[in-house]
Amino acid sequence: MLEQTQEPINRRDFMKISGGATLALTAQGKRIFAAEAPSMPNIVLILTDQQHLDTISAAGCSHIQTPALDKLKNRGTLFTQSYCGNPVCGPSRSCIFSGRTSSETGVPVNGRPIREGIPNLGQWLSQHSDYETIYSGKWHVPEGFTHFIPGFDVINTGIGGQGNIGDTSASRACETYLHNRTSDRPFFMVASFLQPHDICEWLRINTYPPDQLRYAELESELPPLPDNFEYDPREPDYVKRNRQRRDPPKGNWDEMQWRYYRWSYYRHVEMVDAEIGRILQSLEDTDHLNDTVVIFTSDHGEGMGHHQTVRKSSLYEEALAVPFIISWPGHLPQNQTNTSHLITGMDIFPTVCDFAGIPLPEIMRGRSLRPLLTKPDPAWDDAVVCESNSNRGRMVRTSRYKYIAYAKDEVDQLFDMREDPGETRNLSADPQYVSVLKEHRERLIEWERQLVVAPDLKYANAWWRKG
Amino acid sequence: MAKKRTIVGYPLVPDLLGDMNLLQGFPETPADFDPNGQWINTYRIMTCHGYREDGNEDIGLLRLSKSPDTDDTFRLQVDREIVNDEHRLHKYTAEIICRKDLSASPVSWRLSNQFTAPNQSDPQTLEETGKANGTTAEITINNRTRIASGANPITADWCLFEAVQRLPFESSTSLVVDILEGLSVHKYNQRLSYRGLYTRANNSLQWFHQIGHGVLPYEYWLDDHHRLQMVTTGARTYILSDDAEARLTHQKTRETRAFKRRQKKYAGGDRDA
Repeated sequence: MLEQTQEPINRRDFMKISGGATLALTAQGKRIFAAEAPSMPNIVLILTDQQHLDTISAAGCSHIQTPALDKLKNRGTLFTQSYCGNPVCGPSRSCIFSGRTSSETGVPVNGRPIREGIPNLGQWLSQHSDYETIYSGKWHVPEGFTHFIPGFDVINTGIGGQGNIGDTSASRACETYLHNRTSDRPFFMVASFLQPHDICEWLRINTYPPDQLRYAELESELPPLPDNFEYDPREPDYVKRNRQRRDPPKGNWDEMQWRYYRWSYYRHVEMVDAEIGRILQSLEDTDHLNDTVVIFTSDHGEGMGHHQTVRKSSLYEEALAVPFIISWPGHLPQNQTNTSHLITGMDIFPTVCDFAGIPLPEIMRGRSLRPLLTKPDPAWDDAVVCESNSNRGRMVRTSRYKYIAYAKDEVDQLFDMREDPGETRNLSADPQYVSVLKEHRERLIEWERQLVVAPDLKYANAWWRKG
Repeated sequence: MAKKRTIVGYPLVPDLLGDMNLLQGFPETPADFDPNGQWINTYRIMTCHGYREDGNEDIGLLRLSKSPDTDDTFRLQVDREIVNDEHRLHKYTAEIICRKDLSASPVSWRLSNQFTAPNQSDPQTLEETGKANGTTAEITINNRTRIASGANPITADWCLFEAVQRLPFESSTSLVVDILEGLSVHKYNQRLSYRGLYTRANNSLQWFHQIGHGVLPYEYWLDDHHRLQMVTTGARTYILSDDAEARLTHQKTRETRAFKRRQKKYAGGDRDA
């Protein structure tokens, strides 16, 4: 059984009550949203897998060329304070597609389905609107690449562990769908790419560095180490153990190998950028540029050497923060960067419903981002909570601070994100920050209190004790 | 208890693949093989998940067939099939007219892009055409044309598989081009250069590599007849093979079985699983 809303609404009813022009002014009186917003626009959700926040050339990353993401950024709004719900694939995707936390969806680890009674976006749109719901690429809740995704018509599956080739099939399938479709119904299309997740395969075939750089001519091109390559040794044991399990310690990496890994990671991102470019080009070629909302994000980030980490799972920014763009040329502001509002992957579900003009399920943790795009001074509680793999950790982010706690671990972390955005100085034991710590623990408890967590969830009660 | 797996640890090269039982030598090159003449090279497309024991799969096939055209051009036929999970088949068929220049730069082409579901019903097809000259290419789909333009001469990834066979084995050899990957997406500033002679216990091959925007480094291995034997890029390899078709059929069968298992598991159909 899926959750029901009080007032389901169909497309015809919606069109009667919507469609009016909306005009919003900024505090300076600048017009930011003028064109009449068509009701029920097409919506394309583009997902990448394991993409670090700072990997868009137009957003200032000088080690990469991402013409497609640059174009998308220039056509829309880039959010720089964007977090995934959980820095692991399946759990994060369960958050994106349900608007609920991974402790609620029953997907605290990879390989689990979203639990019965919680609808995914495809099911919800199918039930409450006329949208065609189309899916291409990685799913992972629970099957990685499958035709059997509830609520969606799957036009291509993809290939496990091989985004370098399966992503091309995924974007080609979207292109073929867009060019061949004859329906006049609006579409909600998910283009879900695996890259740059192939960095996991790369790490396994480049664990042991050679004496010399494999491609000598790259030496001058390698990006530097990140500023926060070193880390505060007063870390929770869970974080330390995770780092030791990864490949670099096994391979005893030197600085050159770390930098070569970073260079290689950027190339992985460029690969997926090319596939995103094909989707954007197809929207243009099929005259859907101005009637389609494009939402882009990633399921989680990548270590990239920050805190000497690779891959994901930690609650540091490199794993938790993700790029996020919303674009709707002619109807939403263009070339904007929102650096102040905190958002999460759970916000995608209500945002899509908002654009589609349908109500939300009764229980919803995410918030529609539309007001942040259309209103000059929207009400927005700048606090987000994220979970970690196996329900083992929590992160509470407020506008200035970030609090991290792991179950069964005495050491918590508190960072001043304004003074120390690289999270290198853990303030949790500093007497000056007792009240800040208390405030964040209380926020966490307040958040936990409202959750309807899955039965038999490990560490379900761990967070209350943190108070 | 989970099976113990050993990470590969090192980039994929012919001897490592041999050591992992993923490569049992290359087909013998006919004595009269001429890279400038007419030939067919069929490659199995093998992917590695970074473990020695499992996850190394043949997921497709690439066949390149070169035939004469005019004094200045030749024809390159491309047939590529990829078996996506649960046997969603993605096929490319392309015919490219190439210049007889160093990078086999395309003059014009037709490409068909086809998706077939596991039950073989209702294949979805998209046709495109293109032409290129110098640093600019035009790609047309359904009468809509877009331009790809860059700073370097444009060729295609498949064309480089042909071109590398005509390059001299000399340290001074290098090309700088842009590519249209799959005759479609534009990747800039690809630098292809001769790397040297690769000699290991079982192989003596000529070695090139290519570095550029949007790709992991490509490495090309050729025999002394200038026939391209193997290409690697990251975890993907193209291996010249006599049994590529049979391997592809095996993979299709395997993925069809996976599809049927899931169909049974999620009985009720695609949308309502």
